[in-house]
Amino acid sequence: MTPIALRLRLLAVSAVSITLALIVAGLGISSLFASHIETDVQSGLQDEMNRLIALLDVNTDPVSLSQPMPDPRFLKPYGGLYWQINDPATGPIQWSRSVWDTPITLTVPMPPAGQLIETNLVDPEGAQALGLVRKLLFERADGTTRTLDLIVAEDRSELDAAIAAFRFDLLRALAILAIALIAASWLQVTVGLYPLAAIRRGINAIRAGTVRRLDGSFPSEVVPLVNEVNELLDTQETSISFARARAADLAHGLKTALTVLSTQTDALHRSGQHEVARSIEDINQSMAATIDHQLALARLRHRSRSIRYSAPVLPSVERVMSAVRRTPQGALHRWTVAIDRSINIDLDPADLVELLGAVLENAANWANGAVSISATRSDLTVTITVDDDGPGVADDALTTLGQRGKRLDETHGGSGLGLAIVAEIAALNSGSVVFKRSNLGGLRVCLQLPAAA
Amino acid sequence: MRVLLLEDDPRIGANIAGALELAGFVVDCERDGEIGWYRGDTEAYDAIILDLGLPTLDGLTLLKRWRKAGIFTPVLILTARGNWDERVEGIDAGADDYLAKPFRLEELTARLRALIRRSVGHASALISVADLTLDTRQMRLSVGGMPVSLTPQEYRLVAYLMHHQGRVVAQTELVEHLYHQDFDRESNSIEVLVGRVRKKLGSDVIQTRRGYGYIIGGEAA
Repeated sequence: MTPIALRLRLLAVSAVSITLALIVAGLGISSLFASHIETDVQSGLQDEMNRLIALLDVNTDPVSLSQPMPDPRFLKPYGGLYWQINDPATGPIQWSRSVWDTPITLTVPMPPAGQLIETNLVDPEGAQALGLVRKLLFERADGTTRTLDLIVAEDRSELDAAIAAFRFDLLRALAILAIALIAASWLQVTVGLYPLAAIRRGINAIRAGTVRRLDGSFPSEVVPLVNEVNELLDTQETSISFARARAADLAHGLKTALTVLSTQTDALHRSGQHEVARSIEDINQSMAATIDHQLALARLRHRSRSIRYSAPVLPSVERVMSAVRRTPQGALHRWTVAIDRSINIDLDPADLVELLGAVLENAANWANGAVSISATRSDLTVTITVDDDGPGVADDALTTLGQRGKRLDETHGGSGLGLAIVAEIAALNSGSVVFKRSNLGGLRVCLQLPAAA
Repeated sequence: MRVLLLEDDPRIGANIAGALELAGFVVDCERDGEIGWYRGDTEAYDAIILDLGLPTLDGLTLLKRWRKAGIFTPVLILTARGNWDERVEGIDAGADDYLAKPFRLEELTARLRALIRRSVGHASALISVADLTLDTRQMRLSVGGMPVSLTPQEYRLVAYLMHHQGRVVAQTELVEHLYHQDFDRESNSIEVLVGRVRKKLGSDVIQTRRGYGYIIGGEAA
């Protein structure tokens, strides 16, 4: 899983849990608030109930209040605060002015005498209300008793409006809190995952070839992962080196055996078996060339564009030329070099030597007496041109040159692999090789390679 | 011509030595780098064939040591690795030519002859002094255009003196370059050999500088 996916995961989990926790907290707080203010209202109603009982004169008929209830809301029609006295047998007998002309209807069964119940009612205005209902047995002055149902009620709308306003404020506050907490958790995830991002950058750099291992200090939780990655890289490096070394050993072993065989053909020549000897020599040369080609391919590393080289062309040409000029073919020719010392190319210097070696050796093998090497630079490309005055190549065969194993002249030495390696090195380095007819009369090899920055 | 051959594979060594001896060279073979270096350092050779992959001391290091010590015997390197980096490195280290394995013995012999000729300043395979002409490729000597029949040892003597024409070559140098190292250096075989050649070519071709040695192409004493 990539660090980004991990981050999204952590963020999603924390966002969901923060939201859930805040919803639960919001519901809890809102319910606590509602219950708290309901209790407050109930307590107010309780006081009103006590006041009603205290002011009630049961000796009159109908019963009356010795003085009006003090709260002005009782006096205003539909004022929001109500009292009502019911005769259990006949129904409402007295009520506050606020009840106006629609006495309250009780939907709950009346409690036993003396007990108080809290209940929800529909008030005279038709709105929901909180009510207290109490059945009381009064003793009158004449010694008789009278049972009355007393009701006080308060419209819920103010209460509900207060609860709604509180919930709205609470929601805003919790939303802000949720945003702050999610932002904090994003920060936490980012800071927490920072070492993983560093690992990701490191791995990208390894892939790009700019570093070989994951270096730097990492938190203790990440160190085992870093160590694992580094061990994996070491193992890979060791395996590649081991494979290259085995390939080189194999090549060396095969070449030694081929050399033994090749030096023994001399005896065949001396005994007059020239045909057998030559056939063995041909097979030998072709096997050796195949080994060289495969070994050269094994040596070529996959080129990463992030590694920039700056290989000076002229010194490499001079070194390779001095080697080729030591050979009998090379020694015979006049070599002309026209390369500006400032031309550098973006190519591994070892690959440049390999490439020039193959091209110059080919020129030395075919030239009649002159080989010319030049290089020019445009903005991004360096073109190295090698001309010889040899027999050249027919126009229709120019395109097949550089293809592996193509030998245009079977009588000449070589295996056709030298120019194939040239094409492969050029291709691996975003370059190309083109074969043309030379103005010296022979072959012109144009190598186009990226210029060094 | 005396050649030091440093090659660790005994079969290749034997095949090369056999072919070179047939071609008129005296060949000393060594398989170990350290011993090879010592022999190249202390004995006089006309050329050295050096395999780069030697045990105990690798060819390039050995070559650099010789060059640093002022030993400028021409060196032909043999390498099993076909890469140019190594060839160029060999030339940079002071080699005079290189040959990638596998090679044909004919090719090796031709390269070695060319190397020795170049080292004494002869560009062509034909070396002439007065009316003597030595064809190093065909190992033939002709006087005034007429071929002369020489034994291998006689050919080596004439070839060595003609390669170094105009220079007095001491008898000890001739022994070193014409015979194996276990040859009895006190014997008078060089005088006998010179006498035989004079009979075939005429008495004035090889001149004696008494107390110094022999010379071909020198001014009359």
